[in-house]
Amino acid sequence: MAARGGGQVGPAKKLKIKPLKLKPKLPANFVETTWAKLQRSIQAVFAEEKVAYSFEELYRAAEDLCLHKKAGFVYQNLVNECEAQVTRVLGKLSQNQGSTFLSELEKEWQTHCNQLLTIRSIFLYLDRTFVLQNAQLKSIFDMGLQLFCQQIEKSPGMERTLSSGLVEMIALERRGDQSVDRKILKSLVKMLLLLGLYSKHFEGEFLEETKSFYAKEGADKMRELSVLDYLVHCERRLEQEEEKCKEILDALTNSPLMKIVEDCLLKRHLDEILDKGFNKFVDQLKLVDLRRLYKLCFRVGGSDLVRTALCNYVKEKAGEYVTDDKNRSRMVQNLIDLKAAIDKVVLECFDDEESFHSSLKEAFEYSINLRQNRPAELVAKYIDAKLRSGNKGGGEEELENVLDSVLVIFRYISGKDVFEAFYKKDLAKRLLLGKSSSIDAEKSTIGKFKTECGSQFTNKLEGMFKDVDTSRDIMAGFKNSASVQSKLKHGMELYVNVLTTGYWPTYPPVEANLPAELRDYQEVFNKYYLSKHSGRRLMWQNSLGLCVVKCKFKKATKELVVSLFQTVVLMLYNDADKLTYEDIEKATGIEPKELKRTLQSLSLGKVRVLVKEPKTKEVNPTDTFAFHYEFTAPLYRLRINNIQLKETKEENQNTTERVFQDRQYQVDAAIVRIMKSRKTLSHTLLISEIYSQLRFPIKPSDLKKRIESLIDREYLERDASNAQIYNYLA
Amino acid sequence: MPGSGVNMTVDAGPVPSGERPRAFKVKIKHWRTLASWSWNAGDDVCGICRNPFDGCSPEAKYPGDDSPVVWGTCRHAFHLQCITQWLSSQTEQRCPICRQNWEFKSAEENEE
Repeated sequence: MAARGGGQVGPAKKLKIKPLKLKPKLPANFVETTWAKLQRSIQAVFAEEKVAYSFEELYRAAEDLCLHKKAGFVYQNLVNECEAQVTRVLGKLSQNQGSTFLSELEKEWQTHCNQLLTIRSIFLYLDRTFVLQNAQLKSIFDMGLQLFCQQIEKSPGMERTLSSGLVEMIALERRGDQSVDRKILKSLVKMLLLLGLYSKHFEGEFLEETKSFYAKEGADKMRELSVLDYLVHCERRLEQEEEKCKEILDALTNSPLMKIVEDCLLKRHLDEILDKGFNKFVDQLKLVDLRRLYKLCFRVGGSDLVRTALCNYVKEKAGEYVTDDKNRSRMVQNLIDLKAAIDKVVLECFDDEESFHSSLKEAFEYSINLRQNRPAELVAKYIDAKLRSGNKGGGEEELENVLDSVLVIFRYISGKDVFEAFYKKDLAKRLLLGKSSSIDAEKSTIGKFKTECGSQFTNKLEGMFKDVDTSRDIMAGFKNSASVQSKLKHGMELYVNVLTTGYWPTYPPVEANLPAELRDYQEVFNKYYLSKHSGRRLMWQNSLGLCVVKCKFKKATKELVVSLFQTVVLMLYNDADKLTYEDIEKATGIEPKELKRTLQSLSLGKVRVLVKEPKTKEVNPTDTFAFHYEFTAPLYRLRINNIQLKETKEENQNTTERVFQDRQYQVDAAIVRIMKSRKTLSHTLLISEIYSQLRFPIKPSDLKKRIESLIDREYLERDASNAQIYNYLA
Repeated sequence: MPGSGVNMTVDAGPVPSGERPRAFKVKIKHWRTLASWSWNAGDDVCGICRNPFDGCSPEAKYPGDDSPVVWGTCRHAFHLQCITQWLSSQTEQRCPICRQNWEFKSAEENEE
């Protein structure tokens, strides 16, 4: 290097760099000695011996060779060394493909990788320059792996031994063998992945083995275990396989693997699982197991099957409740409980699936309407029992809950008119006999029906409440009217509920010869009412009349709460002590059936104020009834009007019949309405129009009858040219 | 039952006769009853809407107070809503049945 030279002062000297005079020369055998050094070191590394040189020195040596354009030479020699090493190592191994083969191979593989890393460090310069610049060459590490791979492929049977050995290990592990060394497994699988041998043999063989293993296990366990345990087992298996796959296998194997396991353990046995286990689980509300069942079925696309199973369960159960006449009184409660249980199951176990809800609705509707009228009637009765005074259990909130849950059942009922009829009848009794526990609760119930079915449904029911309120005002006016009060002489109080015809259930008129005082009062009220409301008339309804009667017995005086008919009978005893049935019948004018009921309640019930002779359990026309002077009771006030609350068979039948009659009218009206606007319509179109207008179920054959009847009454005619077409006759 | 008459006389049972006073044994203190009202227009239907008087006029939602029935001086009765509508659609105020001049009958006149 030329720096500042002679140092003489003069004109500025130019600095000049001269080339070397002699080209520097490498030592003569530079390449050979350097490589020999490297080669020795490589061999030492491969032999796991101490390397005589420092790595720094070796790195420099490799770098030097590369810098002197010997990179190709070095790479080739390196390849040769590696190949020799791999051949040696694997050659030894291929002789011994016995039990220790896998662990030895794993060890060799680990060593080989470590050695390669060391060697790559030494030849890093080569790796980063020459190798990188030549696309066709593999990096040193990859080259080492490739050689390893090629050698495995070359060695006879080695590859097969390797993959089947691994598959065998996994199979052993599946059978619960604890001694399986996961580390070896993991590292060998990784080796296969690195060497690109994974999908060639191993994966296929592995999946094949998996399939046969689980096919057998599925069949076996299905036989041995209860469904409950089987599902637990499946869940565990799936978890294990999932975890195994994550830990050892290639991520790409996951989906085929899981599919096989699901297929063999679940899909094949789905029907049997559901068949054997499902109903039992729901019966016993095994939520955890149901959740597991659903999750597993969902995995294999079997959620539809679960849904069907659930619906069948509901159909079966609900159908049983609905058709079981022996436990009729439990029906509604049973249905409510069933619905609550199923809701819980769907919410907690089946992800609250929307499709489940809609199918369940169908299932419930199907089974509840297996019986046309019973459920509607019983739901009405159920609510009646809850709203009646004296119903124990819970306050307002509780009642609300009960009503809400029964409303769910109500929703499923297709014959809502039957419900309405029975509900109305019961409501009337509650209101008129003062048996309602709370008017607020009554009104809130009506409110619920209103939101559920619209105001048309509740119009009349609301009208009933209106009547009760109006009556209160009327009676207040009646009591405060001086002119009226002056006419009332018997010291009795009268309260009349004035009902609007049309709102209330119709009560068949039951005649009775009322005692004079009652007739007087009736007369006075009649006049009073008609003077206030012109153009009207009043019909007295005796059947739900209620009296408080003072009765003098030998030991004490009692107040009895009795029906009007009971009163009429009791009043007879002011003039007699003992009367025959015939006497009573003649004097009261009450029709036999009602009279028998009345006498029965007075002489054979809990409170016996009449003594019947003979003492049989039935009332016969030949019996006599005597006033029971000796009557005693701990309470002062006694209720014996329960017969009014009870529903008689006739009453029940009447209600049902009225509903059916009403339906006929509605069908007739619908047909006429439709035909009036359409004038001409084919049979099928007419039928479908009718169905869209009616709110209750009816058989097509019944519809036909109504159409026939309308033709007879000349509302319609069949078209002369086509009997399938009807014309409206104006 | 044939034997029951005999039994009655033999076994008078718990009914001692004679000693108690003949005064009222049973007295009614309170009577709670019901009466249903309807329009005093027979079981007929309204001549205009052909619905029964006890039912609804087509204009009304509820029967009863919401569907009042009125009489004309000619003694023909209609739902109030029906006759009002009829009269408002006509130039002459006549009863649709007898064609006499229509006049509402007052409440007092209605009392018979």
